[in-house]
Amino acid sequence: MRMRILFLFFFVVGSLQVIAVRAQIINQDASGKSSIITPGSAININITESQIQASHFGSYKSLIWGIDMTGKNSSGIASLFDEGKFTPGASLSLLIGRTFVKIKSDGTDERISNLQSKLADAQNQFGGKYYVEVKKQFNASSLHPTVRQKAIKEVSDLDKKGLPNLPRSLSDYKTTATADSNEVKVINIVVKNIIKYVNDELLSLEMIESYIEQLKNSPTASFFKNKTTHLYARGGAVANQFSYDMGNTFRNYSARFIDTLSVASFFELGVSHQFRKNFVGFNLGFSNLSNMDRLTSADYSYSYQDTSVNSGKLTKTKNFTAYSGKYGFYKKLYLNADFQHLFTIATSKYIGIGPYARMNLTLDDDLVDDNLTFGISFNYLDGQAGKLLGGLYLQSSDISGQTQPNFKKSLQFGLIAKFSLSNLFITK
Amino acid sequence: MPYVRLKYQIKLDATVNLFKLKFQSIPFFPKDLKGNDILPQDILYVTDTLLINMTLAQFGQWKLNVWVMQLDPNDEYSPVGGWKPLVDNDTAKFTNDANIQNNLNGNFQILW
Repeated sequence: MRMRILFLFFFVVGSLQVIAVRAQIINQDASGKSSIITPGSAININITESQIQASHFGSYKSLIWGIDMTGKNSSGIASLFDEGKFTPGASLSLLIGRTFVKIKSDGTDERISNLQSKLADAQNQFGGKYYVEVKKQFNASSLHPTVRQKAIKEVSDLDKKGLPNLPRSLSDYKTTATADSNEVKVINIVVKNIIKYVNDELLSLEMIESYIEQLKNSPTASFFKNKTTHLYARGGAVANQFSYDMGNTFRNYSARFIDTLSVASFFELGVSHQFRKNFVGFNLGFSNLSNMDRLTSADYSYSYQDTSVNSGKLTKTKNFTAYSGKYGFYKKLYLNADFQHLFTIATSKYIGIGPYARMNLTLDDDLVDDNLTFGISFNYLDGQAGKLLGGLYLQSSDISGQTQPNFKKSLQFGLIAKFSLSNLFITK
Repeated sequence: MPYVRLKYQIKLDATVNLFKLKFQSIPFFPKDLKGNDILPQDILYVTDTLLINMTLAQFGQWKLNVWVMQLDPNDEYSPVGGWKPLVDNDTAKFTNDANIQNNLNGNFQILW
């Protein structure tokens, strides 16, 4: 019951929060793990493993944070939401990290950009000063106010053809503000003064423009190398509730099958790196967990006759799965590695293909042996919407043959449906 | 009187990260990257060209369109005429895949 409440809590909270958060994993193994993370959020359903996962990671400037929840049902996906059918397997993890975006442009572009910025600043300042000068010069003249205003507007507008052309525009200027020859003479004198002012002011701008033109003759790259890196720490707990079979030496049902709740913990440091359409991730972790997944499972049916009824025979029947074997906790170090390359199949549509590996070094050999998991996964990404829509994986859970010498039996094939409820990838 | 108000429309795939966007060396931070119009109230002085510095990261499709509207400094900066596009608006120069072209730097002519 506690497990069910925990799971429902995770699911409901996750569903509510998923609108406002943004991050999830790109790749995904059979247990729903990946060392590659990217902003976005989603609910993933691993149909093969009957596992549901909600990933919620937010970002604020260069900081990233997140929560990842997984619930697993051993009885089939259809009964995930049925009463008491989601066990065993639920995990909660929290993540915090930092994002680095590095752009490597060539020096020419940077110099041009800096000079253009200086030029833009100088132009912006010049614009204001030019209008002030035009007004000042005309206001000092003896022109009729109506003519003066018309002339100010006409001369102010002469910069529309570009600052380098402004002296010529002023020289070519023929006023239409008045037909009076005396007033035209006054206007021409004012304009000459303005031309002198403009020429002086433009000298520094022209020097900058000239240098920009020289630099522009150098080839510039249309593509700057860029990398996005997430460094993160992730920790969490894994809870398992199951019936443990004490063995047939116990003659009483309640003594033989014990409801067992194990809570394991883990902590890991990871890096997720993206360049062009490649994603690579590593994380190194330590875990203290139970060997529940190594126990032997068996399905049972238990019937109990209700003797309070004397008209016929009333029997209660309970179907359940119990696990047997040597049970306990052990510590392990693990290294996870993931890679995905996105192949473009249409504009903004990608198929991600890549391998992953999970190396587990057990610090307590009595319960579990070391093992190496290796797999390859395929994921479909709608880049325009930033949504992963699902994927496949093929995995050997023990490629080194430590616990399963038969390679074929160690293979798992899975199908994952992803419901991305907010855009992935956006980092700010 | 090329004091202008600036309007731009930027549309990015979710996989594209807008690393830097500047008009006339002033940084802009669009709130909507799906293509809705954004109308900053900043007043810029430009003459025949507009300086754009945009740098993108990651990959995916991007598109940028820019318009300017003249403001009259002699009349309390009231708008004059309509929105004027850049000459290169809607050309291949202003749209691409960030995996091929991920920057747009230069002075772009205004279609007055």
